[in-house]
Amino acid sequence: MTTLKKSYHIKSRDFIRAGEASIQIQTLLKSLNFNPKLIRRVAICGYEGEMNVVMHGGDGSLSFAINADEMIMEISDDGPGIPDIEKAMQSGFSTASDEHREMGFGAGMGLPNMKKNADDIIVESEKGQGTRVRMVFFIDKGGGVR
Amino acid sequence: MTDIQQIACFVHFDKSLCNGHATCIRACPTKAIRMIDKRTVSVVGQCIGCGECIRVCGAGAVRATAAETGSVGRDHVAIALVSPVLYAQFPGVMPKDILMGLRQMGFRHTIDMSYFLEIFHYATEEFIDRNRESNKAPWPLISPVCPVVVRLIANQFPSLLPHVLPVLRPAALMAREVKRRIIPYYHDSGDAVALYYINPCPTKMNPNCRNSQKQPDIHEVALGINDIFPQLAGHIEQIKNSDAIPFDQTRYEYETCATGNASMWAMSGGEIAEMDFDRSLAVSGLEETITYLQKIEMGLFKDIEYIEFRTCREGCLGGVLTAVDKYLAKSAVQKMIKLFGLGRRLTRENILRMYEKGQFQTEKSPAKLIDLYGTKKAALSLESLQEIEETMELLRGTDCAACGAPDCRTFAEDIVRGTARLQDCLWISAHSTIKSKRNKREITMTVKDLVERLGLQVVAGDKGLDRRVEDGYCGDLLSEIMGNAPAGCVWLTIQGHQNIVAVAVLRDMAAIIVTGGHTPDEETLQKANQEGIPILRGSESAFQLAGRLFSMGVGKSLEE
Repeated sequence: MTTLKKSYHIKSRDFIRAGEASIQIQTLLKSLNFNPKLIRRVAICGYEGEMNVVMHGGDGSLSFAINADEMIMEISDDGPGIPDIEKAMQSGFSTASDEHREMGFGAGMGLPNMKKNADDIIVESEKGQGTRVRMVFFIDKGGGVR
Repeated sequence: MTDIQQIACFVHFDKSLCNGHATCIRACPTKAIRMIDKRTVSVVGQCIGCGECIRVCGAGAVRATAAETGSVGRDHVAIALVSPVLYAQFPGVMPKDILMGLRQMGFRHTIDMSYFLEIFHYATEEFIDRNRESNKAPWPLISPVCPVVVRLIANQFPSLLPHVLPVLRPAALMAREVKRRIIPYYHDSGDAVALYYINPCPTKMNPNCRNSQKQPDIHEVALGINDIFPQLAGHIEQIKNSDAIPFDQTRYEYETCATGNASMWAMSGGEIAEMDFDRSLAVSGLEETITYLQKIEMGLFKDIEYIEFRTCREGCLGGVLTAVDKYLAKSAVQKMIKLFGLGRRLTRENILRMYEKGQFQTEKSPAKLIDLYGTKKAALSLESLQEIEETMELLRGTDCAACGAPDCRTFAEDIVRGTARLQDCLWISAHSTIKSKRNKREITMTVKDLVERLGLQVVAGDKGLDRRVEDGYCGDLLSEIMGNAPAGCVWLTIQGHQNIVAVAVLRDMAAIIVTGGHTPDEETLQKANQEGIPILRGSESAFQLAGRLFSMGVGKSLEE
């Protein structure tokens, strides 16, 4: 089975270029004529993930793999880690700084939004050990691919 | 029309003027343009009429499909639908004088847009107000006013089509009103009528275009502001200079321009400035528009209610078919706003009554828009996507566009889709040409060839004349030669003692050329005959001979 893999570097605090990886993945999926709703879900997850790394995570990477059945997006960083994952998954819980809030981020929607849009999500993190978010999107024959 | 290729609905390319700089190819937001066979530019994808190709072409080879102005009103009733941008082209001139100038040009009616802008304002406010409660449409709503933006969305951001405000845009309201109220009047009396859209951009599709299916019962013509500008300027000059301006009888309320709102409309931000809600944005410029659309698609700007997009910088004032620079025009608009003030002529109640009846609803559904402007390319498979990635690795990735595609990725996609060949890449084809030339030379270039082509005298080592020459080297310091001379080279030196033969043998050289007319020692010649190393004598200097050898291709380093 053909698997296409892409990986991107995410730079800490680079707000200007944050989102580039998601835009490229979005363009890729458009050329496959995927259902716009599915593309949008993937793009939202990618963008939120990239933003999380840029804001909290130090340097990181986004890797993306796609085959005929599913897409897997993995975002990892070498940042401070999430002390309480359960809490971080709650809508509205935020540790963003004032600077982030001034830019319109930090509403405490990031991880919850990713959970909402991905078909499956695993968040692994330990204090001081960085964070790894792995998301799966199923490409079902009916709704996924037009 | 022989040189002009009629290939798109909005623009055409003049082959005789094209300088092959490929700026249009790179500027096209839908990557629709390709250069085929050096200077034949062709639209292969979906043109959305943004006019960027016209803007960036330094040679003036791209033009909008526009009509002749000389025949206005000659054998028909000409009705001008005037974009407010026109008023900004004549600083210090009153809109009414500009409209009168148009009438002197031969237009029977000149329809000003301000009346319809107000209708649009009310309808938009109403829709947004209701949407706050019903949440039927997703936030942010996107202005439908710039048709290029709507087409861009249909082509590249189809998931955003539900965001487009489903209210008829002012130009459409205007055309509908004219068709309903003015044209029937003339049709009843048997007169032919033509509608002229006077536009700052090529967005009005050429009516003869293959894409517009229905046969129009009314003759519709698109005119660029720059097409009519010279003639109109002449008439306006006359009007300004005549003392007694004849009282101008207009029949319909929308034949004059009354408020500053209309002129403001031409600027970026002019659409939202006077509207009755706070959370709105105005974005102008093609790149900026695309960036914002990408972000909306990723779920951003949900807290904004309405975004006014214009693909031209500074708004419609920056349209490619304007006659005056956008910043001068902007200043003219600002002065006009100061003079007229802002305000509305119509009352909300009247418009709301029509709104209730659904009079301002767009007739174009998202499905129809995708049908008209959506990408016509077949979907790629995962395998072909992988093939594209692999092809990308062969290319240099500098997006030079010399192949005729806008960038390396698109070129790779064209190759995989079968519409381009890898050899179309200049870098790849140059590389393979040099390589094949070099291979040829490696087979054919021998010491004998050098003797013949450079007119050298063979003084020893005839046996080795068919040795292959692969490189060249100059020098007279033997230890340096021992250290550096490449194998298979021809060595240029003025030394004539017998040690040169030993060096040539040890370095596995093809031949020695003794330059500057020097004659090698007798022992040297004997040794060379023994070893089969040809010694050639040339009267020219090492510098001259090296130059000639190099131009023959000897020693050209071909790897990067």
